[in-house]
Amino acid sequence: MKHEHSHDHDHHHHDGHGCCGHSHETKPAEKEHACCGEHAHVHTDKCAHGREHEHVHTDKCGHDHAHEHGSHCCHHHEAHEDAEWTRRFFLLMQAVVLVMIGGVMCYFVASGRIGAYLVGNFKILALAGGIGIIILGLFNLMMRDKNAGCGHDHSHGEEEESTATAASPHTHDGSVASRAITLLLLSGSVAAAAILTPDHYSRDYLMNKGSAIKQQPLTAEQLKQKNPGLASALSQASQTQGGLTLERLEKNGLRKNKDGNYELSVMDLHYMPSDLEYARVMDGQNVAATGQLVKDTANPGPGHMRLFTLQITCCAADAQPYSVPVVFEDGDPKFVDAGWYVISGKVEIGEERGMRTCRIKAKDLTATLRPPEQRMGF
Amino acid sequence: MQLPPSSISGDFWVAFLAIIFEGLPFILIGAIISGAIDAWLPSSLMDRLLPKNRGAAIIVSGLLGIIFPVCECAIVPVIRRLVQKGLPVGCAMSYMLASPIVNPIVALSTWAAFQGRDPGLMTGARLGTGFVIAVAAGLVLSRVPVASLLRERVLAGLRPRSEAKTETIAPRQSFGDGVVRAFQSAQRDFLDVSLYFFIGVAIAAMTQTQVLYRPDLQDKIHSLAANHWLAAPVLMVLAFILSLCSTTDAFIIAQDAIFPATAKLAFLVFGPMLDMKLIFLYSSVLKPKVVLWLGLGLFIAVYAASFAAGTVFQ
Repeated sequence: MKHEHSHDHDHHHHDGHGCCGHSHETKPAEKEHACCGEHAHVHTDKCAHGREHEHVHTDKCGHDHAHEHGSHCCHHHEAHEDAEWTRRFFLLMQAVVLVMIGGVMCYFVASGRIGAYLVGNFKILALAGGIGIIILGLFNLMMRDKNAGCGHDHSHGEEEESTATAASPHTHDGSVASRAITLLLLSGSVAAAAILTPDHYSRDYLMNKGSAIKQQPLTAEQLKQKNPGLASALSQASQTQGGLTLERLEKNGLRKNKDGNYELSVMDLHYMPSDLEYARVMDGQNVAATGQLVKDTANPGPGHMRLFTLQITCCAADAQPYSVPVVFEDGDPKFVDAGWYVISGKVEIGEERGMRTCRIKAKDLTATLRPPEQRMGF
Repeated sequence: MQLPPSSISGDFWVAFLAIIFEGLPFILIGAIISGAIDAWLPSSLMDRLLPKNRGAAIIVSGLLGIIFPVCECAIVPVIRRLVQKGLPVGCAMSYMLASPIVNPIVALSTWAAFQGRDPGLMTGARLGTGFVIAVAAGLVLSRVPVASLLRERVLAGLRPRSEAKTETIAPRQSFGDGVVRAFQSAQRDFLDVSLYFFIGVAIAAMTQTQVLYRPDLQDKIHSLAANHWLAAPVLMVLAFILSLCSTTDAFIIAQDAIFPATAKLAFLVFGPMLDMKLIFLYSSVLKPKVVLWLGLGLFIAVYAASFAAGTVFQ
């Protein structure tokens, strides 16, 4: 639609725009008319949306200057309505996606399933993050009528104006398609992961990872860091005449179970050979350790098993399997592959593939439940 | 609730969710900081705070992580906003690459992880090498026109230097309007950056659970560990695939018994600067071609630096 636009040269005026009813503040300037050399006025109008439009008017050349700016403005008005509708629609959808993502995070924390993925303070951070994401989405949804803009000067030139799409006059938001794809990818992947995750790794993956990671023997200092109770005992022993003894270890937290076996973790046993004195004292002692029992594929043979546990430093992606060899002299016992067991037996310090290792010469195995701190086991 | 049985595909979902749960809160923090910067930080502040000399400004930016420690996930939305607020791109790159390494949390974690294995030397070498490479990258990128570096969407929000210099106070608005604007910006940034983060994490989880620990591949990796020239690149590729957080990666690699210290240094410097998820996160700010060249440059620089540091270790 074209408009004949009569203009009264009243500079710095406000006029109601016929086509769209916007109030335009007009600032004139002069420039030469392209077709006949007569001078023309260039008006920069600022509409109610805060956008600036440039209108060119000639009055003296006598030509019929049917201006297209009115039509442009009406289209612009429709575009604004479309854009506003799109903006509100996407705000709603973004809020839904954010609440969903935050909700999944909060659910995993509340249900305790987060223990399979994160440790320590990262769980609290995940909860805070989940709540924060929900608040972000809901706040913006509640404030959807308020378009705070982006703070930039959006005095778009004609070229930029023409390239901005109706749905996305504001170039920071991206196109409708890109926004839709973003929301679909985020919500789809989180939903799929939450539904399809088994909360623990497969046996094959951890076995492969366990044999892939070659853990260095720990120094005495590192051993102490990994086991503070032992640290105290070792520290006292090093300062006391006679060195480390079982009594000193017992005084510093080494406990026996009801069967008289010392309760040690797989990690304790794994790193035991790193400290010669500790290994000397524990060599030949009866111990009980809890872990997942699997056939030892690295050192196959009748009765050759491995007791596994996992340690997560930060998240499940960095989970490190620790294991200790277990030998049943009478061949393979009856056991469920990768089941949780308490293995009782005698500690033997020896060598495996050129490295000092500790192994359990097993006497007995008892099925047990997965310990709460070992949610990640396969 | 009945969970699916463990499987190869289940391994992927476990690793994927673990990194998402770990990283998403940090991206949210970054997005909120970015929103606050957008709403309240006057553009001229950057010019006033940083030294006028370009080189000095880039060096100072490389040390900002000591005062504002931000991890590699959170730094991207912050940098995006700071660039739009007038922070020179060279300074932004220097801060972005250095901050995940040159910060007190990473220094402490590296120190703790390498106890008994020259912790001071490894910590110093990690921070020093990371700083030098980040500043060098900042200096190089500061010579490239901004339009060639930044994505269109970042450029669209770029405030002209002349405008930024004249804006001495934050835009006039009520506190309420500022909060709304901060939240709207934060949401926009969070979703934008999360998309790239998710893609990067998916690829990292896929590679880690389906490829990396295959026994045949592990045999090859272990045989390469003994090679003086290839040990460092192997660990750098490993750092790229594993996409570990810079605050914890030292604990993972310190326990390794096969690779030499110089290769471990390369792992600790390269990983926080470039990994699978960061490739995609950087792509939310920089043009893909720039990310490619940056990655290549960082790889060569870290590789060379690890050998230079090797002389110190010996």
